[in-house]
Amino acid sequence: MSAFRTVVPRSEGDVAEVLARVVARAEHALLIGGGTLTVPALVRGDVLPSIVVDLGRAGMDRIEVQSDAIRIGALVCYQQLLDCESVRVRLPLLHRLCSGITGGIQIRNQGTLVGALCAARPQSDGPAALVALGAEVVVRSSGGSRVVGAAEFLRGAEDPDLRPDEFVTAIRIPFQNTGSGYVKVKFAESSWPVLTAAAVSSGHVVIGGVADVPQRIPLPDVHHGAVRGEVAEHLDRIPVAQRWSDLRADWDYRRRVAPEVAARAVGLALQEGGS
Amino acid sequence: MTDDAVGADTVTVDLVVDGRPVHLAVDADLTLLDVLREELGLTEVRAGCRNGDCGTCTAVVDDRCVKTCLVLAARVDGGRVDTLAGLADDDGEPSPVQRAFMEEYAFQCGFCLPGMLLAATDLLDRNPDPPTEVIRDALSGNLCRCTGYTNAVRAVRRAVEMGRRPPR
Repeated sequence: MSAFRTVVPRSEGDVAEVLARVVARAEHALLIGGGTLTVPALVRGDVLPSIVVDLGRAGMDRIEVQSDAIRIGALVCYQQLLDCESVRVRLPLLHRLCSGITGGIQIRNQGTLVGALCAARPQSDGPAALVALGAEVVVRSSGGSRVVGAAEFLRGAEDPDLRPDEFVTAIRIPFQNTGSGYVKVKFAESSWPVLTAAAVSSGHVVIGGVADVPQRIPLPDVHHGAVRGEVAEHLDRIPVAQRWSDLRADWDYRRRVAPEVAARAVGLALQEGGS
Repeated sequence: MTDDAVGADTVTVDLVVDGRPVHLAVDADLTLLDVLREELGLTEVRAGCRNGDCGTCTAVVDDRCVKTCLVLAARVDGGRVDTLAGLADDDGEPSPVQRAFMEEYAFQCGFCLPGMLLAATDLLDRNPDPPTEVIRDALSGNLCRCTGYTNAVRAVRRAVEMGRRPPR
């Protein structure tokens, strides 16, 4: 006897219709994207949905290169992004992020950037970088679509801006026109990140893993010492309830290392930008 | 369950596994790993962590090297699954990657081999002459407690060299 029912919609419209029916029946659906987080959670029994909606066949696995941006479908895996010439040349920050995803070839063939965004884990690779790049999130339901900025989409730790009948179809990222840097702290080759910093040389750095949501810090002065100071001041202003700790590191550690990590990311951005 | 219930407790799955068509009706909560091992009796994929970490359940699904413990069976309906069994040629001769792993003593108990061999093959299909750091990174989704990984990296380098020589 299966622990849950499954449905595998064959189009975005089908997904929307299925979720509307699930909500109408007052049931709870778990959506599976790449499956690297959700399927183990099901197997362990960490989550007990009555129905699982598998997005793997709904036609959302394409990258669309536009004149000024790239549209990344919800089921596009990290390896597809790594293989995409436009990502390598015009979104080097994203290319660098994808090349550092933990888990080897298999996970890069299965894990998705949109899945990482929807999981909204504060310390993971995707959220802070997508905020730094100004990504827009396309959210759909049977009632239509809406577009929300990545920073607004991330409402809290593991709390994306999604109603029970909504799902993300894609994200849209404008091409970079400035240099960028991406640095993450992890404690072992296969460790999840502890802290991430994504910088663009036009003047801000976004830090993940210090609070429940990515912290976007404007940098009027991008010199090394100034960056550390700006970041430290910002971190000290984060309300206690929003400061992030987990098994890998407590807040005090994160507070100590974040200014240096940010400064390194900014340094890389300036280097890439030719300053 | 009423008639308007969303989804199903059981799913039918048509697959071509190592060239053999199969048709199954299975519980909806089974992973592809469960189907391959428990329903089809295939031991070329192994059940390890069931958590996406160890890599020993690896197979190639529709030309993508994946961990089958991370895939629900319903998703792959209509697809093609190629396991470790397909690496040797039609005469049963091991592939260059398999030969290189034997020659470099890159495994002992063999538990990690589905992931190691398929990840290495996927890497070399994509990049015929990868630098050592890329090899290490590509294999990093596979856990091995016998060899300490050094010999596995050496084996991939040897497979690269074999690719440059005419076949034996």
